[in-house]
Amino acid sequence: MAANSKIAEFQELNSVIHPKTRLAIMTYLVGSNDATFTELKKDLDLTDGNLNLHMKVLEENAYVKVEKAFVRRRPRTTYKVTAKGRRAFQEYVELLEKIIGFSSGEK
Amino acid sequence: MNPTSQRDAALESLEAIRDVLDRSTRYTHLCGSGIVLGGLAAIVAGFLGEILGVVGTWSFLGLWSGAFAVAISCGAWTTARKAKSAGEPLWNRKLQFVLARFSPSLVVAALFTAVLVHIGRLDLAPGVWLGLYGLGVLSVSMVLDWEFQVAAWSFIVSASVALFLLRTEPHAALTIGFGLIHVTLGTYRLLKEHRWLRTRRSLSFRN
Repeated sequence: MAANSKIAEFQELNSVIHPKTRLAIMTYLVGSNDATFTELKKDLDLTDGNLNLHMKVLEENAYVKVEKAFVRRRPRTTYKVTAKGRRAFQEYVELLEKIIGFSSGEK
Repeated sequence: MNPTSQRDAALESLEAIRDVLDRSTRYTHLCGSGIVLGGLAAIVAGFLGEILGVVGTWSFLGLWSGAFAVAISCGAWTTARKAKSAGEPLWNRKLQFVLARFSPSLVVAALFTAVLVHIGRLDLAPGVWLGLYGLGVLSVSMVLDWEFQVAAWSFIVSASVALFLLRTEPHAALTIGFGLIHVTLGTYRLLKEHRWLRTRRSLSFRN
């Protein structure tokens, strides 16, 4: 019974954050507070299309907010993690730790 | 998914989080060429100091302040250029962190210099400068690559050498300390940057 409830717990992991690329993006933004599109692309080794796609999902869920500006006549997009996004990330990590704690207790 | 594979998956995710968190706080804009140029400025200053026989208080301070200004300018210029070529802002949170941690040791170095000039013990200045500079680098090395930590300790060791063995040879002490360590560090960074460009790290974060 306990194992079943923990399996359910694993399935409860936030599906917005859980995919590896989005987890990397959220982690980066939580660590640095803000990051430009170029920074994320370079440091996480992502393509424009891939990053755009995942940022859109995070934006739709209000986990990140976007700021667009022109610096020396060149567009610069900066992303910031929102309070909601930070909370979701924290809960995600706590759940991961819970799963690890449970499983090592089982062994 | 059974509990063991769940645990493995969770561990893998946490490991990946740790890796990205480390990368997100890392300051990578310090450019190898700027560090080499800074080192060369110190070597030229040391060479000029020896050739011209610069021994007076104000000429000694003038020569090494000039070298420091040239080195800082080279560093700032190459850092700005690197940030620009990467399409990233120069003045960002990471740079602010680096400057906030690094500048106190420069301020203390200036204060000590004033005291040493006042008491007529400028022979201690190279050791004090190298030691405080090393401490400054050490305090920001947590957001820099590991070689900066090695360089920081090298500055501290060279400070000891300057204070105990080369007190009568201030130009040599500063040339070895600031010059050679920067040139070595910068050359290593240049090689690393070159290697990095050729083989970019592939992350485990691809979907």
